[in-house]
Amino acid sequence: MKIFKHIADLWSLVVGLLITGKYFFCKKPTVYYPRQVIEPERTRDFRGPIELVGTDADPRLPRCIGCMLCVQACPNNCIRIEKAKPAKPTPEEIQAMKEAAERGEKAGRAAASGASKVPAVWDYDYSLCCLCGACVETCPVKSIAFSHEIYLASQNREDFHLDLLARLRRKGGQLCSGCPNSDSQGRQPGQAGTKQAAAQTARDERATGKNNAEARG
Amino acid sequence: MTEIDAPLAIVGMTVSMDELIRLGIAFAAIIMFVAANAMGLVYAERKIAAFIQRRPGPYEVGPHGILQIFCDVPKLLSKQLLRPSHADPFLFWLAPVLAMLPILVLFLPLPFSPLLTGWNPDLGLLLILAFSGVHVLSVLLAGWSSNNKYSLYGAARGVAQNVAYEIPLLMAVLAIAFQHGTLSLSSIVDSQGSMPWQWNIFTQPLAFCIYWVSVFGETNRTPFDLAETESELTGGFHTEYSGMGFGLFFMAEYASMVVVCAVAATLFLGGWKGPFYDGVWWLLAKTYALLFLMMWVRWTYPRIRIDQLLTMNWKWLIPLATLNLIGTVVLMKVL
Repeated sequence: MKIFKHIADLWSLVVGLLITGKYFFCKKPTVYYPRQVIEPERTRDFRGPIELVGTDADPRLPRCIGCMLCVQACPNNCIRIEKAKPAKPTPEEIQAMKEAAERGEKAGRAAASGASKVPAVWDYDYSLCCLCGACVETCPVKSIAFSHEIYLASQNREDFHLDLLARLRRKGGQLCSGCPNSDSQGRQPGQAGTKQAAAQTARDERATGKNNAEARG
Repeated sequence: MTEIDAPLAIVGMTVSMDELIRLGIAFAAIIMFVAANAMGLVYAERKIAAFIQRRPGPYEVGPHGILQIFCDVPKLLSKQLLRPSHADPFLFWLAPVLAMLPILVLFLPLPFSPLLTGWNPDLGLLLILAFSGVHVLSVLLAGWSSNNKYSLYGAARGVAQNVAYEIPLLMAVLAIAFQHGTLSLSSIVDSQGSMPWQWNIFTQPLAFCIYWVSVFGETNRTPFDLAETESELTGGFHTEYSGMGFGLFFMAEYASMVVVCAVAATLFLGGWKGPFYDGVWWLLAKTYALLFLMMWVRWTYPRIRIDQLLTMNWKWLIPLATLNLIGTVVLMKVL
């Protein structure tokens, strides 16, 4: 009898009410930013603005080899890389080159000191970024990764022009606080891992943005 | 006290001076009660909606957002009243007033307690049913005079729905009236006992279910809010209203919710009677429990289509209400 099935199906209304009733009483997961921030370990899956990855030897220097593949891969042109000028050849190198030339070997300056593989400028315009991850996938040395920066916010467009080299220096300084060349801006190791760390980083970023703006202006 | 010729003398009634004073006090109290309830219920609705969706809801203004409503009300009051250029000005502004005014009358015959009854006519139930029917006219006027296709759709749906759902509502209420042989709300409360099993919900469970489903259709509440349907009709009949024009519709909706829940508590749940300490608190507790259920339902079920809505009414509720009414009549004659 179809009619009894209709009546029996009314039970689903009660099931629905029980589900919403359960949610009514359950604990709410809301975090009241900025009075509270979530723990850094819970932002691990968040894919925020990209950041540079440091080398294993010195976490303050990027793995980046300046190949420009990420610049080409980026659909929004939000990455700007300028390579460092090759170091001036030392007198010994000049001597070696001369000797090589005398021996008739074809040895230019490049062969002696090598073309620069060190980026001097690594600017990232987060206001243009669509977080597609093309750069992260393209990078041959895994020098780009998504950061877990969840609280980056500003009313100033300039604050989203990020200098990722400076950012990496600060972050690397944090990681190896014992490093003799530790950046003066690097934070004290005690602050790392605290609840305020995320918010602190966001404030740092804003400060960096202002510095950049001043430098540009 | 001398008897005077009051306006009601037109219909062949005379009203004494102290009855007039009592009516005046009752209306003043009702207006305050309605306004306070509208504010409290808006806050409650937002909190309940939020909790069901695992959000905190209003939180920042005052402790747990309790002062949020004192920000919202001045906003509504101070907003500019706009009228679409081709709208009918008289009907356009008549509609929100017409939505609000009859609701105030509905509270008059409600027995909050033996003392707290504004007016106790023999036909209290009929008064409530008659004046609640005016609401559909305000929906129609608002939708028609807005000169907006969405408003007109909303009004057409609202009328189809309200007219249809009045029938099972009426028949469910009639079953109670037949059972007790009276249309006076106070007498119906008197004939119920203090204990829960002496209430009408145990003698008329089907009537209660029919009544409860129908009130959602009558008050335009989700899942039966087809006259508003903000996702399809951008607000339906009140799309074009701003400021307190909308505010009055809003207040009327919450006031009518209070009325239908208070009537349900009076007819089916023993009114102001309870297992101990009879009084107004029992009616208020039952009313707010029903209001909570109404909001709970709103945030649980999705909105249904207009054809489903009317099918449910004409094919299920009206036949069931008719059977229930016939059964009640037969039982009352036999017993």
